[in-house]
Amino acid sequence: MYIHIPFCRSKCAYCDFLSFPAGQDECREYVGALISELSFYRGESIRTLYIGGGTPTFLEETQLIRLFEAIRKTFDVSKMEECTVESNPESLSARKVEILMQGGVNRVSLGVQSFSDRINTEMKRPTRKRHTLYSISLLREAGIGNMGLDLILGVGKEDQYRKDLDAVLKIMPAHVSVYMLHIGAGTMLERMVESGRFTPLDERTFERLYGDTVDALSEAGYIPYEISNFALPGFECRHNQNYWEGGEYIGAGLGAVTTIGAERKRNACSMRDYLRYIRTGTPPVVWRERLGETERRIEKLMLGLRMSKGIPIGELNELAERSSLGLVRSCIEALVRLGYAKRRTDRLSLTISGIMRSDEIVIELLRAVEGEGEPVF
Amino acid sequence: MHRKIRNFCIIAHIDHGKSTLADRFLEITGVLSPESGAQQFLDSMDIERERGITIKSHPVTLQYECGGESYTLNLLDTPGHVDFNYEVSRSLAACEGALLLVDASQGIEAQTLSNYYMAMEHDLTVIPVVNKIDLPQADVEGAISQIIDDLGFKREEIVLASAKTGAGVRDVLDRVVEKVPPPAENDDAPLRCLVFDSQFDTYRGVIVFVRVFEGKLTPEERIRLMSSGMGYKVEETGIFRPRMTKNEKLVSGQVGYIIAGIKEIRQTRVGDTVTHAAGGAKEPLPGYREVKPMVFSSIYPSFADDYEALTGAMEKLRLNDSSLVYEPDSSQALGFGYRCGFLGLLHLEVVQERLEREFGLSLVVTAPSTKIRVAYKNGTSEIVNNPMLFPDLGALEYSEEPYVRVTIVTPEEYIGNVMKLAISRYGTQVAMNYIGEQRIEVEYEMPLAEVIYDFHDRLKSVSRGYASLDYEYADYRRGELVRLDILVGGKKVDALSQIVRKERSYERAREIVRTLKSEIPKHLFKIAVQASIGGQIIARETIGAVGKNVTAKCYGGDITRKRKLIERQKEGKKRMKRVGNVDIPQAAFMAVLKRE
Repeated sequence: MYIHIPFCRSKCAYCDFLSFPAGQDECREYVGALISELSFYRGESIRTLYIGGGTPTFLEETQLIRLFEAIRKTFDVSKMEECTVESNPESLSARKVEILMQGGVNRVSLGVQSFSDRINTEMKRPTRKRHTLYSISLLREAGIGNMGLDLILGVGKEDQYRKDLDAVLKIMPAHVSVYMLHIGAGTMLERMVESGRFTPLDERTFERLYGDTVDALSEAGYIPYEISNFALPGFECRHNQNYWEGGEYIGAGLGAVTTIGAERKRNACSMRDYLRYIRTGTPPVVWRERLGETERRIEKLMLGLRMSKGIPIGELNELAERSSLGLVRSCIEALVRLGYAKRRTDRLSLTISGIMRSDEIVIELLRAVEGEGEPVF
Repeated sequence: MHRKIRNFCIIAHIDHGKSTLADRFLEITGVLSPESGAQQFLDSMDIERERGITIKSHPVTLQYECGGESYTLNLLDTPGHVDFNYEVSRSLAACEGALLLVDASQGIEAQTLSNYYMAMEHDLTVIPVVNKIDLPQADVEGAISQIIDDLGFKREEIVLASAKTGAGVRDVLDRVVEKVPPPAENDDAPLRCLVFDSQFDTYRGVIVFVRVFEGKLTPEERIRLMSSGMGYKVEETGIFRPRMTKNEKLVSGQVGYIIAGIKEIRQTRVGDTVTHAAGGAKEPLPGYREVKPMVFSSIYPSFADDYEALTGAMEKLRLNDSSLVYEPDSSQALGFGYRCGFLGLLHLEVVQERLEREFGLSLVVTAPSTKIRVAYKNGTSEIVNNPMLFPDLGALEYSEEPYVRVTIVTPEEYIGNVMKLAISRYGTQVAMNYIGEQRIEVEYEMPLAEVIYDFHDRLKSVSRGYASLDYEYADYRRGELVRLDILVGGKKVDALSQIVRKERSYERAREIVRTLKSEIPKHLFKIAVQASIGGQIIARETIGAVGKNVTAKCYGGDITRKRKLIERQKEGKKRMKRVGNVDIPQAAFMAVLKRE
């Protein structure tokens, strides 16, 4: 289950998620509505819970307590394996960490992004280095061993990123996520790029730094199990793995997505609409789609290739028509030849340079699977 | 007793107001009310209205009162662009008279002259009309004196009118009744009808538009088309008022239509003669000439699945456009398509637009070329209209390309620019005359290939829109021509081959590889784009590999969005043409076709 808390202290320049600053009154109203929505799924047995945002820990203490109580009362949590809360360092306090612990949270994902105050200022982040270090010590003291730190590759120059990576390696959290900076449409960052106030790293530097990141983290004992995710053995995020393996999930809260069987649906993204649906006792769903064979095929490929274990070649062949098996084979061979993919036992996975171009590669594989075009490269 | 019939047409330079004048005629005779919406009734195709040109002839019958008598006026509209001269000639052949329309603000233009000469060749009675006299910039006196001095009319023969305001329009019709001779009547002679157009109707088959010169024709009779010898039984005859209206018979002098269960559109040839199957005429009507395409280009569907749809669309187009000729063609790069012959570049564009708009097809059209006469070293020779078939230098003795005689009329202040342009296109000046005091008619001989690209556009731009152009085929002359091949990713893209003048080949080669570099998207690997002549590479660009295309974050809520992104990118690639292992977008083919 995923629960979305869309509130933040302020909006970061690069952020294109469904999140925004809000007052505590609005937060309280939202938590009330959210709890009502949860009751639509009363009695479900939950294996992993992920409370994301926004900044869930931006909620005041009483609201956090209220939310965790509702979760405990509404669902069967006896089989809970993993319960994650996302947090931004400036929003944590000793008391909040205590509340999380009492609420059954056993994993915290901390949005560090960079240790540089200059970069955080430039990216309009409220976080400072002292907040980050303090939060990490709070979590450690509280005994939350399963801590994840997030970095963004590309917010600063090369040397700053290397410092950030070194800092993370000194802390040695159980989990590290490294996201490549994306300049989203409509973000403040996009305007900064347009007006020349921000210069993105060039593609080659991106590729080099990403490769070095994989090397450095691997050497330190982390397993690079997904494009952006690295974990010490046994600390892979199970909740997220379920997404990449095409599993079912329930999403609650503003704009949250649910996939059950062949149906995918999304909640209203407008707070007003969301609250109105809940008030009238209707599920706040505004969009649905049925996942047909084609959709599943695309998702299987694009999600499967995100993971370092890749996808079984046999499965790829099963997706393809008999007549396009030759195309699939020659496409795989070409990807291996160009250094974008590797074949290990009977699985196909991407190399560093393959990962950098993974969207392009997924498209080529799909075209081969669908038997499109003449002999592929 | 004479039938009170007048058969006439309107000839004019493009944009001199022909279609608007025809609309006024329809209003005056009560066929069309002034409020009835769409302007330019006769230009029934969207393209015609948008481009302000008439491509097809649409006959219309008007009942007009004059001097207490009722006359039947058959108006045959004619195309106004240089590419469609043959269509003009067919209409002229069906008439006894012509209105020669001259825009008062423009004066006589290149096509005014050529149309006038053509009307004279057909022995038509020509009535000069100065149109657009309401315009503030109209120079009515100037136009009148040009008509008097250059065309040899008398002042009193000229009618002044404004098709826009309606001024003088009745005078024009009165003059038609008065001056245009009634058609000769000879109902008892063997039947001879001139086919000047035809249309295809899904339910009724081919509808043949005819002018009856001799004899009479009634439904149920059997007819024969004299060029093909094919016989049919007439189901219906009728006239245009302006919609098709059934009648009991067609008689000599009339303009009308025949429906005779003709299913194959190829069987009606414009310019052909219709006669009775039994006891018919011995000789066909004169004036029929084979349509000679001047410009050739291949048309391929963007998606191979659309080949059948393209075939059907081409057949339908050819019914209404007898100037269009084509034969099957195939390219390794683009699959199956058609090699088509056109009257000129505008004709090509019109056909392309109609295929895309009326039939919803997405097309790739190759660079236009002319018909080249090729002499081989072994003494044989042939005509080549497809660059793919142009021989390598080793086998070639020499080649000849078609030249045209180009007539340009320009205000004298632009003559310098016009001459510079013509010389840059290998033009040789052969004549130069003043028309009136400020305008010059200048004639050049130049390779047709130089005219068909963008000569008209360039001429307009160097003369601020004032110079006008007409051309006619002259002869074949030797040229230093070579075939320029394009290779993408090491594979020759046959559809991009072009025949170019040797001295221009390097420049053109560099231009093409640069264009392709900017139009072909990056792939997972580097791509070489090369141009070669006879196997020797003369220009090269490299398209680098995709640098970065990765979605950093992908969790529950992102999956659909990410999938759609991939679907969209994949659809985009699907629309491209795959040559070897490179996807080439349609836009790349189009961009190479255009010249800077």
